[in-house]
Amino acid sequence: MSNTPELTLYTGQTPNGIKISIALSLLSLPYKTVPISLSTHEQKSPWFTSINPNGRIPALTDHSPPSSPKTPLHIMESGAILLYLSETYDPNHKISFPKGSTEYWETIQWVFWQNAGLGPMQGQSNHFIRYAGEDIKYAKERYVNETRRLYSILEKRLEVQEVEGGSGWVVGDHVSIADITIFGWAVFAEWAGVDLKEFERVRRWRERMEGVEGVEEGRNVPEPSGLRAIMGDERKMEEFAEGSKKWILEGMKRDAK
Amino acid sequence: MAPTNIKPITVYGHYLPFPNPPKVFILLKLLGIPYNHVMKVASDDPTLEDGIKHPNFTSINPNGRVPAIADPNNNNFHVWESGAILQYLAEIYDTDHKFSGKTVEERSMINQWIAFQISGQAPMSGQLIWFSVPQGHLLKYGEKTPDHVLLRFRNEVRRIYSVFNAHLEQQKAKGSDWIVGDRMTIADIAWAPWTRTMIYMPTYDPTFYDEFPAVKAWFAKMEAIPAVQETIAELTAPAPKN
Repeated sequence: MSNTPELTLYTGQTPNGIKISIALSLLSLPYKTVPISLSTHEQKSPWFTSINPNGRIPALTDHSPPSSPKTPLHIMESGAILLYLSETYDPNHKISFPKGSTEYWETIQWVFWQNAGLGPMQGQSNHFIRYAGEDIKYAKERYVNETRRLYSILEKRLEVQEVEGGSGWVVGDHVSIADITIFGWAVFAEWAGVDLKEFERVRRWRERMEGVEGVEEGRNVPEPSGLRAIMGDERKMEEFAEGSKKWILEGMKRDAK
Repeated sequence: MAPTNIKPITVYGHYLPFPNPPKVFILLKLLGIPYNHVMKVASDDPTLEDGIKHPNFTSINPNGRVPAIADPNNNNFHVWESGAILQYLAEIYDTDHKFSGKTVEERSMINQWIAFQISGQAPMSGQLIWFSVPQGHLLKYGEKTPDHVLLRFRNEVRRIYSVFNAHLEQQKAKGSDWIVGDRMTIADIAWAPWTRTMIYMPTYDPTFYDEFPAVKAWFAKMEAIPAVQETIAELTAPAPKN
C-alpha cells in the first residue's frame, strides 16, 4: 500500500458521485476534486471519456496504484471504485471487512444489489416523475413501486441486522461501503417519490448515517446539494426539476445520436 | 484447475431466457466445478414452495431473485447477485486467476466492467424487453407503450453497446479479443448472456448488432466456447409435451 496516495475524483452532486467522496472522507484520504459540469455535458467530452469511456460520473484516477505505481489507473463505476478503495486503502477495515470473511462477501452482495437494482430503478423513477416532460402513469407507477420494493428489502435486512445481530448497519457491526453506496441513493429517496416514513428502519438508518463522522463532509462534494433543503416539499421539488429538465432531455437526445 | 473432492455447489436458477443464471453456469463449467441446478419458479407468490418469493428462498436471497448459490464446501455459504457470485467463485476456486484478476489493478478493471454490466447493460436491456413484450405492460395497463418510453430505453441500450463496442475496438487495437487484458475473464462471462438476450425480443431485429461490429465479433467468439454452448443447451427449456 502506498503511504501517500495521489487520487483524483471526477464527480458531481449526484447519488453516485457522493458515495465516493463520502468513502474518501471516512478513510481520511487526501484527494483532488475535479467537478464535472453535467449541465453542459462535460462528462461526454473527449478528455473525460478517455478516463471513463461510459461518460458518466464518478470516475477515479489513482496516479500511483500499488503494483504499477508509474501507470495511472482510471476506474469507472462507483461500485468498482468503492471496492478498489477498500482493497487498496482500508487496511484497518474502517469501511470494509477482511477479505474472505462472511461480511466481506455480504458487503459485495449489497453493493451490487444497489448497483444493479436500487440505482437503476430509482433513476428511472426520477426520470418519469421529474424529467420526462410527459405524464406517463404506468411508467411512474412501475418504477416507483419497484424502488419501494427495493427499500422494503433493505427494511427487512436492517431488521435482521438489528434483531439478530444488534447492529444498525447493512453488514456486520460497523459502517461499510454497503451503507455508503445505499446512502448515496437513500438521501434522494423523496426526490424519486418514495417517502421513507413508509420504511421506519431505513429512515432511522439514514439518520444514523448522517451522524457518522465524515459523511457530512463527503456528501457536500463538489458542492452542497441544492435539493437537500427542499427534499419532501413537492412544490419546490417541481420547481427544481424544471431547472434541470432542459439539459437532461437535451443529454438524452445527444446520447441517441 | 479447481481442486478435486469439491462437493457440488447448489445453483438456484432458471431456464433461458433468464439472463443472469447462465453467468454462473458458464464459470462453474470453465472451472470444472460440479453443481446441482435447483430450478426456481419466477412467481411473486410467497406461498408457492418452489417460488423465488417463498421464505425458503428469501432466506437464501433476501431480494428474491435468481441466481443464488449455496456452497457446501464452505458451510453452505449463500451468495446472491450474479456479479458477487462470479467474484466469489473466482476468489475461492480460480486460485490460478485464469478468469480473474491477478493484481488489484486488473481486478479493478474487471470489476468496473462487471459493475457497468450489472448497472447498465442488464437493467436497461431488461426495461427495453419489458416494454417490447406486449404482455409486459399491455395486460396490466391496457394501452400500448408510449414512444417516449420505448425510445428512452432503446437509445440507452444502443448507447451502452456503442460504449462497449468502442472499448472492444480499443482492445482489438492492442491485440486482444477480450474485455480486460489479453484473456477471457469473468467480465466477458458477465456480458455474454445479456448480449444473447436481445434475440428473445419479440421485435428482435437480426441486424441489431450490425452497427456494433466489435461486439458482434466478440459475441461470436464467446458463443463458440464449449462451456457457453453447453450452458445454452442445458438451460434451454424442454419443448412442452403434447
